[in-house]
Amino acid sequence: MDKDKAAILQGTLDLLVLKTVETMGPLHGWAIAKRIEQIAEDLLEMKYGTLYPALMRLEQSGWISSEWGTSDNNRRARFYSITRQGRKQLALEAKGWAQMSAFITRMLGSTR
Amino acid sequence: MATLRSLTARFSALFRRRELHDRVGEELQFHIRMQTEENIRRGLAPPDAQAAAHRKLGNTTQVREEVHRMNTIEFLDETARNFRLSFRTLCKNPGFALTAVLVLALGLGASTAMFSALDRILFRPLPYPDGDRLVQIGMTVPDFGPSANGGRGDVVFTDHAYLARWIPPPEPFVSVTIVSRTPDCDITEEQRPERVKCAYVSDNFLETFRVHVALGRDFMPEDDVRGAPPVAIISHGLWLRRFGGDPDAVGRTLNIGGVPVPVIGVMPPHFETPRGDSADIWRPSQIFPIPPEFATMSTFITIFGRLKPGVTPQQAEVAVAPLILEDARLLRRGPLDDYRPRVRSLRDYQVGDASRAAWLLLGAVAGLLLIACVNVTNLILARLAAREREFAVRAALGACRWRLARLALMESLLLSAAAGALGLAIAAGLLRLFVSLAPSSIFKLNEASLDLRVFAVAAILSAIAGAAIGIWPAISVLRTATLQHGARVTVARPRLRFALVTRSDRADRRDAGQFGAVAALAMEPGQRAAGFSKRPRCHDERDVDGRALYAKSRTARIPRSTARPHPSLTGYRRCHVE
Repeated sequence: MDKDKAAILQGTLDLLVLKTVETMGPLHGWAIAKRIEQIAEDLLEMKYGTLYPALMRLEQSGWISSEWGTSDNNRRARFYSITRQGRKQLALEAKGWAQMSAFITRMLGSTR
Repeated sequence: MATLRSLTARFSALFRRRELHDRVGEELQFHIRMQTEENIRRGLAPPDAQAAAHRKLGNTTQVREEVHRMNTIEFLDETARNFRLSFRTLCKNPGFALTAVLVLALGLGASTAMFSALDRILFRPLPYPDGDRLVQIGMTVPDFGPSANGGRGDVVFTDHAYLARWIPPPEPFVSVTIVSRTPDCDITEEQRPERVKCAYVSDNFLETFRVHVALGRDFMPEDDVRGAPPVAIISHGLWLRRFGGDPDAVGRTLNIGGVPVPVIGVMPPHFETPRGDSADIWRPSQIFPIPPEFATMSTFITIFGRLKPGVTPQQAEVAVAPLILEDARLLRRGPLDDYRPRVRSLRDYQVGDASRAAWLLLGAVAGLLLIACVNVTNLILARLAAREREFAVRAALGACRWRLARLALMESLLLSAAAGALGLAIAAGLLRLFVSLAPSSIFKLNEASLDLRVFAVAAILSAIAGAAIGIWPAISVLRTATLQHGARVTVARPRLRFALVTRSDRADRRDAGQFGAVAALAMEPGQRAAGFSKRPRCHDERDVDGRALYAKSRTARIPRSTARPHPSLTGYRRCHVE
C-alpha cells in the first residue's frame, strides 16, 4: 500500500457510502467506488472489495435500499439509494465526525 | 431499534443465504467487468486490464466470507455443523453409540414409566378447581382398626352430629359437604336393565367441589330433604350410553330400583368422586331431618370440606378438633384418648400411605438414572481419551477450545436425545407391565398412560441426562485440548475413571433387588465396549506435537525428490483421525 495514501479509517466507509448515495441518487457498487475514489483523488487507498459487505450491512440496518436495474452500458446491476432513516443516520454521523475532526485538529494544533 | 432491525434482517437472511451469496457474486462480477473496461479505455492490454481490476478489488473470497458471516447466526450455524459431525462420528462407532444409548435409555425409560405410574399420586393436580384446598374431615378410631372404611381408617360420624355441628360450616371452612354412601343400584328399565353405581351426597356437594353440571341443574336445598321427590344427576358416560348424548335427556325419567326418578342434570365428562372412582348416578342423600325414631342410630358418612384460602389442613385440624371429639362422644362413652381427630388434604385421603412408597420408588429410579449417567459419562471419557489425537488435530487446524468443548457436548446431547426416544418405547412397555400387574393399592395405576405431560417430563429428563453426561467430558476437553500439551496429556486421568466405576459398582450393590440387577446389566457391556484396558487404536511411541503436525502440512510443497518423512512423523502416519 502506498505510504502517502491513508487507508480508510475503520467505520468511516459507512459515512462515505451514505454521503455518496445521498448526493448522487441511486448508484451501483462500482459507481459508488468510483465516486469515492474520484473525490479522494490521491488521499485515499481503498480496496473495493470492502465496499460490498459494507453495502449489505447498511442495507440490513435499513439505511439504504437496493434493487436490480440496468447500467449505462446495459448490464444488470444492483442500484443503491438512501432511505429516510439513512438520511437521519448520515446527519448523525456527519455531526459526530465533524466534532471528532475538530477535536483532533485542536489537539494537534495545541503547543503545550 | 437499529440493532433489532439488523437482527431480524440477519435472521431472515439466514433463509435466503444462497440468494444473497449469488447477489454478491454477481455484483463482484459486474464490478470487475466495469473496471476492466475502464482499464482498457486507459490503454491497458485486456489480460492486464482484467488482472489489474482483480487486484484493485482485493480478495473476493474474503468478501464472500464476510458476507456469509454477516448473513448467518454463527451459533446456529455451528450447532448445525456440530450436529452433523457428531451424528457421523457416532455412526462410525456403532458399538459405543449403541451401548451408551441403551444404558441411558434403560435409565430414562424406567424413570419415565415410574413417573407416569406415580404421577397421579404425587404431582398431578386434583381434577377440581383449587383442589389443594379440599380436605377430608374425620378421626382415626382404633376400635375399627386401620382397615376401617376400605383401609383408609377414616371416619365415621353420626348423622345428627353432622347436622348439629357442621351446618353452617365452622371456621376455617368455606363449605362442608358429605357423601353418605355409594351403593350399587339398578336401572330397571324394561330395555337394557343394568347395574350401576349410585352416590348419595348432600345438596352442596358440587358447589363445594366447584364443579358445574354440563347440562341441566345442580341439586337445590329442597331436593335434599327427607321425603322430597327423588331427583338424579347422571354421569356423562351414562348420558351417552342411555340417552345417546341427547340434550333433551334432562327432564326424562330413569327407573332406578323400581322408582321412576327424573333426571335433572348431567355431570361433566370424567368427573370423579372424592375417592377417585366414578359413579353413574348422583342423588341427594335426603337423610335430614332425622325422624325421632332414628335419633340414636348412626350411619357412616364421609365429610369433605373446602378450606378458606391460605389455611393448611393442620391449622384446620387444630381448629375443629374439639368439634370432632364432641361428635366422637356420641359414639363412645368412655375416654377418648385414642381417638385422633384428622383433617387431611384430599390427596392424602385418596392415596394414603402410597405417597411415601411412591417417593421411595421414584428415588430408586432416580438412582438408577444417575448410575446410568455416571456409566455413560465414563464411556465418553474413555472414548475421549482414545480420541485425543483427533481433538489435538482439530485444535491445530484452528478450532478453539470452546468449539471443541461444544462439539463434545453435542455428542452427549445427541446420545441422550436418541436414548430419550428409545426410553419412551421402553417406558411404554414397562408401563404396560405395571398396569397388567396393577396392584390395587397404588392409586389410579391402571389409568397411567403416556400422555403429553409424560412426554414433556421424558424430554426434560433426557435433556438433563444429556447435560449431565456431557458437562464433564466437555470440561475435560476444555482443559486439555491444546496442542502444546501434546498427545501425551490424557483427556481424563484413568485413575479417576476407574475410581468412578468402582464407586458406581458399589452403589449397584447397595441398591435394592431388581434395580441393582438392571444397573449391573448396564455396567457390564459398557466397560467392555469402551475398551478400558485396551490401548487406543492409534498409538505412537513419540509425542506428536504441534510443530510436527504443522511440518507435515508444509511438506507438500517440498519437491518429491527431496521429500523424506521426518522420523517423528512415521508413527503419526499410521494413525487415522476419526
